[in-house]
Amino acid sequence: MIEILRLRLRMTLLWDNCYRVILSVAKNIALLFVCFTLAGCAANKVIYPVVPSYDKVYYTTTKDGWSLAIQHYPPKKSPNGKPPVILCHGLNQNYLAWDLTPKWSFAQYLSERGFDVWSVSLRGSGKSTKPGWAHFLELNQLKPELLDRQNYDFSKFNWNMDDYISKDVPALLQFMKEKTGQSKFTWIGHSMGGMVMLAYLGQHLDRAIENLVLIGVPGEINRPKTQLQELILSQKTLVRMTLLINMENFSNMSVPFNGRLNGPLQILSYNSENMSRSILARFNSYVVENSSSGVISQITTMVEKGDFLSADGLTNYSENIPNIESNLLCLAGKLDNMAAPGAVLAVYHQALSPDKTYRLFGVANGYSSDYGHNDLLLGKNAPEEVYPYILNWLKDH
Amino acid sequence: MKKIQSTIFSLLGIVVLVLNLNGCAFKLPSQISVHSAKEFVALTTDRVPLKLVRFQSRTLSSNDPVILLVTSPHTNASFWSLDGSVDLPRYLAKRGWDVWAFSFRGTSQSKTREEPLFDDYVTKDLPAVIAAIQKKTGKKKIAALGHGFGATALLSYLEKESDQHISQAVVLAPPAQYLLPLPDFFFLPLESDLVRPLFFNQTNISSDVQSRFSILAEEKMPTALIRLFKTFSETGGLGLDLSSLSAPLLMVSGKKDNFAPTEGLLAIYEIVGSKNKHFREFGSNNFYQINYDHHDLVLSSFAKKEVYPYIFEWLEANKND
Repeated sequence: MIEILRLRLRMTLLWDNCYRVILSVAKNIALLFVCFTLAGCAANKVIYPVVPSYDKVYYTTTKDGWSLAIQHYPPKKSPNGKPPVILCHGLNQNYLAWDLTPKWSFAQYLSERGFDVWSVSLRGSGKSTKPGWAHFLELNQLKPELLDRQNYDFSKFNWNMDDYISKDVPALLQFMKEKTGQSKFTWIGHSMGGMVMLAYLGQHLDRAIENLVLIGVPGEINRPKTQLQELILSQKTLVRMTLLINMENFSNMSVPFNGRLNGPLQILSYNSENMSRSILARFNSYVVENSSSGVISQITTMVEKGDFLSADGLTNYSENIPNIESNLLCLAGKLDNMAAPGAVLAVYHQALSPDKTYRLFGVANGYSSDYGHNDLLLGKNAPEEVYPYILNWLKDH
Repeated sequence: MKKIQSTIFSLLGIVVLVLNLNGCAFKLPSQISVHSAKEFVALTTDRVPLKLVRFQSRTLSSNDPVILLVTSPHTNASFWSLDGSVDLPRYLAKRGWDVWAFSFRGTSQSKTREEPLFDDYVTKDLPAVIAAIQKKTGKKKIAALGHGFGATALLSYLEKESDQHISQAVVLAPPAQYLLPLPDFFFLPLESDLVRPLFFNQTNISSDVQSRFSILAEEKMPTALIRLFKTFSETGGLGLDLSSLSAPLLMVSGKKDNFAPTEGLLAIYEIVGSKNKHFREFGSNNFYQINYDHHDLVLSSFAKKEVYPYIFEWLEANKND
């Protein structure tokens, strides 16, 4: 009897020790994991540096007092006499999407071929005004005089796509007209950068944009919901409750797992088979930016209702697409989950432009791979396949 | 010296011969084949014998729901069961379905002297096969599942006959409608080697299944399909109008499929009249393991885990509609 009790006691002690050892090992592993992740993020910036090649940064101010940055890439050989090119980045991104490495730099690619290139940053991204830690720290102090201050602008924490369309775009076009002395421009928008111009042109019938190049830009999303879309919709309430959507830290943390993670965000933004790891690392640590809940909830509404609506739901930008008369080039990626070929075709078929072209980037057209959303700019073979296609189109227009 | 040389050469020759034979043996289907199932013949109105194959569970009862599998005319009935791991008829038969597959006229299993037209598939072959199955099983209505051009034929049949004989339909990637402008490969000849990898993407299909496919299932590309494909490149599609259909319909597309792209299928799907209709794209946007290509939906090793269960569950859920 006593023997059995002793044995039991010994077993309990043994288990207790084991339990402790397991716990401490687990803790250490967790700690190591966090350290490696952080170190990975930091090391990544050293291993994969990004040196933008712009000549000068200009700033302009919107009518509600936000400062917008414009990077200028002057033509490197004799100018070709084509209208100046304005590049506009997409959702949660900044101007570096156009200028990541010497090879994967569409801005440089065009300027080397005689184009006058201007890369703009919408509010809240790049070198434009953006709510950062400074604003949060100020608010956290909770000083009554700070809250009482009449001119303290809380709207700086939140903005939406309507602000881009009705405030940023007019300010940018005004600046461009004054700076270049020209009246016609080429607008090249990736993803949301194209949606913004699509909505602006649909409403204002502005003739300043002679050529419009849309890279992975959805006009409407009318189709049975996919599981990815349902996942986006399930986050709707959370998005509405948040002020600033911190994508920057998220994507920084994913850097050490580059190419190995394939979560919903990765599925949405690129085809991992078509992105080289060094580009992916640079993209995640430099290009991805925070976004406001206003912008994201407008995108969620588009996923939900199928049409691109204003924040108050009164204006339907998708219905205004027929008003577009600029020369139009629509590019779509076969495996794009953000702007599926069908959504891009909606723009192509509805716009009344006399001169319009649609091109699918996938093996069906003889390209090396089926392109995803960001692959169209940063894919493995984008500099050999996508850039020349756009260049040839620009040369003809 | 010469003796040694000649022995070395003859030895080498034997080794090469043995290796070659081994390779052939590896390619020949050994254990599983469609022939273990029961075979029948259906006669069409113009007296063309069509080969029918029946797969049924061991405990067959008269209540078992009946399903007809329609494959493309450029493959034969062996297409469905090329390997123990990818075998849709047996997958369904094991779960209580009475499964029938057949080969269209013009294939090696249903020979005919004349060159068939696409209309023959729709107006002669499908009605004859369905009538034969109805006679054999005593069922008034049966379910139908088509893949590729077989699904296109099934859709055209549904457009003509509506749901007189069909209780529920599943169409996997029918090449039938496209949103213009078409990609470049549409302007290449369908029978050329450049086009083949586009509908037979080899990355997701095991090499065993691939070789079985080309030996057992693949037929000469019929002129009817080449002509149909040409029509697509001129008109952008068949312009099927399924607004009068009322049977439950499941439309399946592969995200990577260029032969039957999702946006074209959605154009057909939108005007389908059935109240009970479903659309499913098999790709990363529905969190599947791979982006499915045209043949991947039936032949890839992922299909058994992801596509077959989805189809089976849908068939079960909409059985009594």
